Amino acid sequence: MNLLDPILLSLRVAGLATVITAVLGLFLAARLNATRSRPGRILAGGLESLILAPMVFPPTMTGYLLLLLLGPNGPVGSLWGASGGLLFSWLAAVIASVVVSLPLMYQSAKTALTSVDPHCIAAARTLGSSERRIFWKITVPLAWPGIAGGMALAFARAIGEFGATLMVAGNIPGATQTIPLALYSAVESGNTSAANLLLGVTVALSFAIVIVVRWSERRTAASRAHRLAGGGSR
Amino acid sequence: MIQANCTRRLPEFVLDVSLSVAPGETLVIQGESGAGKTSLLECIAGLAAPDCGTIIINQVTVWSSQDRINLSPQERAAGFVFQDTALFPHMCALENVSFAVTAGYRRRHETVPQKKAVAALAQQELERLGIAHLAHARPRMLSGGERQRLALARALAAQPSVLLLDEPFSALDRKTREEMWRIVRELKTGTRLSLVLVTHDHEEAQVLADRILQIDRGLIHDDA
Amino acid sequence: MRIIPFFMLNSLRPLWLATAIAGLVIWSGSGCSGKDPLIISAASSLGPVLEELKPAAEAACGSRIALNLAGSGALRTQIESGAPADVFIPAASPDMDLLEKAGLILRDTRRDCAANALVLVSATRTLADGTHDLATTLAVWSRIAVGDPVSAPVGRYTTNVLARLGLEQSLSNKVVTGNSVRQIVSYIETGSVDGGFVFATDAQRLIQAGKARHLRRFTPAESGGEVRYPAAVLARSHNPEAARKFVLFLSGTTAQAAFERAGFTKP
Repeated sequence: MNLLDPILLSLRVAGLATVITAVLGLFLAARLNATRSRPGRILAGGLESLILAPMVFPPTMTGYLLLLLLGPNGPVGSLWGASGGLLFSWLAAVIASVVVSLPLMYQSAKTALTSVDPHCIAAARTLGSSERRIFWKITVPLAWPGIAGGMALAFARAIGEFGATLMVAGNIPGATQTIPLALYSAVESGNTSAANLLLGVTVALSFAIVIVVRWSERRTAASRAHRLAGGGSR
Repeated sequence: MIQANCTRRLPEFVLDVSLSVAPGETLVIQGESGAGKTSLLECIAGLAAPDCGTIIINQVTVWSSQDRINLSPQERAAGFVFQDTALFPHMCALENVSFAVTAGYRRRHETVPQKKAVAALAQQELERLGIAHLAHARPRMLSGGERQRLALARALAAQPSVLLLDEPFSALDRKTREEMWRIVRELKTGTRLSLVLVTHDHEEAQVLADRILQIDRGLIHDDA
Repeated sequence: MRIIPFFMLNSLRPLWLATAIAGLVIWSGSGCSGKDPLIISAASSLGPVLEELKPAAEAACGSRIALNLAGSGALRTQIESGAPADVFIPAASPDMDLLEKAGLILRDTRRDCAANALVLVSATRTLADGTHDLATTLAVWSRIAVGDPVSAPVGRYTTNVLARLGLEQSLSNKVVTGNSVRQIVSYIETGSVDGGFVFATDAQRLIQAGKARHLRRFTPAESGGEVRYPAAVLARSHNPEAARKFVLFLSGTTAQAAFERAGFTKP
């Protein structure tokens, strides 16, 4: 059993998924929570439920829905030229990872964005700065620890994704077999040494992720403390 | 100059404003805390919307309930100094002011000069407020007085036509406060900048004001 | 677009590094390709044998082979949704029957490539006394692992055996249910149960590892039908010629010898 393939594939899938999730989650969190009009808010609420739904679904259920969506007869899969739709490709694994990790990123980004001092944003507005420049130069940097924490969580979720990936990407060694799938195959075939090795890799990765999350939590706490201490009364 | 005739429903009373500030004039609005002072400034700056009436800044109607005009804070060019300074904590003093310089150019639809030129302008502004030596310090490294000077420098760097100050010096000790009064008076001499300062401090009002108005439970009427 | 402002470069150095590494990994790995391989969607329990046979099979059918290993039900759902597989080898006939009814397999290519049997094993620490009959042995056990008859094929056969031997009632409060045969194997390996019903192939691995003792092998008559692994070429195969050769190869002597070594029997 080749163990390097699943590890590299997992990093590639989770890495790309995290980038997509981060951009998408940040954009959606900023957009959906900026809407003020009543119909806009109802629409935003609906979209938010849709984003968060994979958190409640069992992964195989998410996988089954994605299978219908990405298959050759599905609305997304039929646009893709190949005979099997998007199924059994590593891109399908990326899509599955994005869908299951988006709720974590969205929630973290939402919390991070709302924790930014509204006076800082108001001040930037009175200076005449455009909303776009405020977002990139003030909001995102101030929310950055929370955003980074959300990215770490999204990466962790993507690395561990099993159920939905098995359904849409298959379990093909060297092509779509990620670490959790290889782990499943190793256990299923009684290959304990391979299973233990993959377990070790997973543990090492999760340690790295926890370090990033703790760092971001410390930074968020520090900036909040600073605001309370140095910012004066409100 | 500012002309404001508007009302806004607040939780406990109605803010009812009728006032005008001439170019170059310093108007001090004095009142107890919770009298609606901050809310009044927010309405002028565009950070909050009144319910009806009109607000005119430099002959431009920035808010009108009748004509459904509501210019964004960006378009109003009203500088605002917050009580808590609202400095950008992730930027050093120079970057805080540079941000405002750039924003000012963009708002006036002028080409933004090179980064070095922007930094030079920002440095000038810091010098004017006597904090040039702190250019590379983050806000949290600064003392209360230094932070207020920086907040003033930042607001002025965007070249506003009116400047609104929301109890800017109330958290400072007596000595620093007197220092800030001197700075504000110096800044004012020879400019046509209209200045509105709200405070609960009677002495501050006496020292800084060309004219003082009292605000009581949201009611403020200018008879001039 | 510049996402992170210049002044944050310093404080974010570790993250930039991580992003750069992630980027490298993403692009370095995307070079796997070649002609489309035959995709063999097979039950996970067949994984080790098929992995072993892969080089010989590739030579025999003249195409590269990719194994897609999962539970039989999941594989069937994938195929029904149009996933691009060429050959289907489930661990039980019903999954194949459903696809056959739906016209998703080439009917003339279907053939059983291996068979298995239901076996009762005892965990090593439990004293297995061969002199007593089955009912007496089970009477002294306190916990016994069986498969869930709905989700695990092994459970269906076990239910048949217990019904035929009239043991359903007496065992009902000792039964620990597993969702897959793998779960039952884990229970036995860890000694969490006194014994359990597994397939002959699982039993062979357990016994070789010194984790279990063989108690009894059940005949197809007892377990209500033979345990078969049917194979067939899928109707949507992109390379049906090679797929046919692959299915034939599974019935050949090389493949059959490998199946036998793994504990399977001839169909």
